[in-house]
Amino acid sequence: MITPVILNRRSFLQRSTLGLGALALGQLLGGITRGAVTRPVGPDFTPRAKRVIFLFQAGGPSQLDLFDPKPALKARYNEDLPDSVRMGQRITGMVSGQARLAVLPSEFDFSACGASGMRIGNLLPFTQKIADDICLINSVNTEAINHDPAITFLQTGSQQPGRPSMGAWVNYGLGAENENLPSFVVLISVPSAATPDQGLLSRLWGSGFLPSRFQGAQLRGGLDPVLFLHNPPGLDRTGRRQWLDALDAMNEQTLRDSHDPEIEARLAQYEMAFRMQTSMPDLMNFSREPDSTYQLYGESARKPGTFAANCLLARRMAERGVRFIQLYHRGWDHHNNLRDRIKVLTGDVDQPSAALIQDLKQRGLLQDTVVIWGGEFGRTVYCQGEVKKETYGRDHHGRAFSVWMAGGGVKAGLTYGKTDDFSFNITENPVSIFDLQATILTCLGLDHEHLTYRFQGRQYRLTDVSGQVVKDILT
Amino acid sequence: MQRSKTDTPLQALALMNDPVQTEAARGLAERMLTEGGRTAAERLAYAFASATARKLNDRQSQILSSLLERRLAAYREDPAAAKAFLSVGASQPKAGLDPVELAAYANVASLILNLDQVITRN
Repeated sequence: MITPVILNRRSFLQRSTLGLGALALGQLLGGITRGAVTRPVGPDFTPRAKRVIFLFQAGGPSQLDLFDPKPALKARYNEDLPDSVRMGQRITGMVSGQARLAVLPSEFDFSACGASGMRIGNLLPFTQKIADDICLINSVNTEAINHDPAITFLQTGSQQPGRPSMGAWVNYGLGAENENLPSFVVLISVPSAATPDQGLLSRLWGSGFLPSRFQGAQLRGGLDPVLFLHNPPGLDRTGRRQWLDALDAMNEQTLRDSHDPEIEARLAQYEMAFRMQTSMPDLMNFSREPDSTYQLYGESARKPGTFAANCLLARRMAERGVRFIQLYHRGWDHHNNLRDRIKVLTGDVDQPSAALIQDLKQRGLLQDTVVIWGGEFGRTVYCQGEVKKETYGRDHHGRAFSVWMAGGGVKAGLTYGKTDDFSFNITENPVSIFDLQATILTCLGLDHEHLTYRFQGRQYRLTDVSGQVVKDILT
Repeated sequence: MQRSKTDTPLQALALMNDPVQTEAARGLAERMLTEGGRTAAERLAYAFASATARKLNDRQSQILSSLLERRLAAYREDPAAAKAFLSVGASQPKAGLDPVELAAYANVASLILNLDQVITRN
């Protein structure tokens, strides 16, 4: 579907910086018509799922201690990582000065779970119970080695800032299911223990060069998720409607004169703000959640801003048709004291993550929701810092790590991809970040090669010029 | 380098409902009534020019006048609401002004401070 759009000189030039040579002009104008869609474009084929819940574990959870067991390493404690495994691949500046890279087996046990015998670490007892509902991918890999480029890569398809985020692409591709709530919502939860956190910048849910109305709306993690929701005293809803009608009429005048498409976004966001004044209190009213909800998600779900409370909120948003629900939980960056710190994190997220899957399932929502659980990279088999049980840490590792997915269109009870004996290199079925993104879009009925937007003279995609849909994990 | 654009409903809510914004609108309304001329049309043009450095055209003037009339009618029927609207903020409303009129003008002033031209730098 092609919707005509008003373009002013500035936006015209932005989309065609290759220049306006006479030869190129005809082609550019054709391209601009194609790329100028500012309204959702609709799915390419029958969607398996309608929405996404991304449970982002920022910092890089250790796949070695949670999802990718290597029991044989127990015999190699404190041995040097063989050169045949590292193969000269780069390591971060944080360990490149170390005299040696000593192998550290996981101290935690794993169990065979569910009908498939999926191996999941005993630090995740609740996730173990949903083994039959998830697909565990142990062969995800990223090109990035540090947090910000790695998160930016996973969320936007580029290590450099500036591209639209996955949620913005989906929003642009599919639009809203519920006109009364933002279709792309971001929640950053508060960890139960103060840990050194990696920054999460708003460009991770930004719209990049897409029209700004497609960006995520970040709710605050506390008692008051949206500030200034209520009209000032002395201005009732009728009065606000009169005010807003006049504001719309004024801005439409400006739009007619300036042809700035961003004014359309402004109009839309004020209308959304008006509708959120009634839809948000309903969304946030947990008073009718029975005690069984808190038994499922854990008591911490009663405390606003926790990961558990945000998982519950994510379910309430899924019920109301929010298209892309992006949660972040921080604190997984265990360069030291991994043994103690990882328990705090699994304690925060294990029960609510599993509860969300069970809850979506019992409400019939899991079949049309894709849930993704994972971070920007994994952690190294070798020790960072002193080889000492009490204080050891693991560094960033992007060559192989684990992500699980569940829900609409994803094969349940499948463990996919294999790594070598050190969880260092992938030996079977590698899944790149682009592959993962292409697969998520496929679940939503979007062809990752067709979902494009013209900017600076070319068609851009979330997956850039890469990405193979991982058909093996789809139903 | 270009600063990334942001435009979310949360910004709209803050500009609509943050007490600072409501108080600023009241301040602009006080100036409209004391310095902006004698007729509604003059006062609206004054506030618009103060905020945007542009002249109000006829169509725009019509839109703002119509809102002003509706808000005046609403506050005449409910003077308590007018007083409540004026109570927002740390400062006291300027003495000697009719609360109904001031509140209605403050509604319109708040709209002017929410215009795309005012909150966007191009």
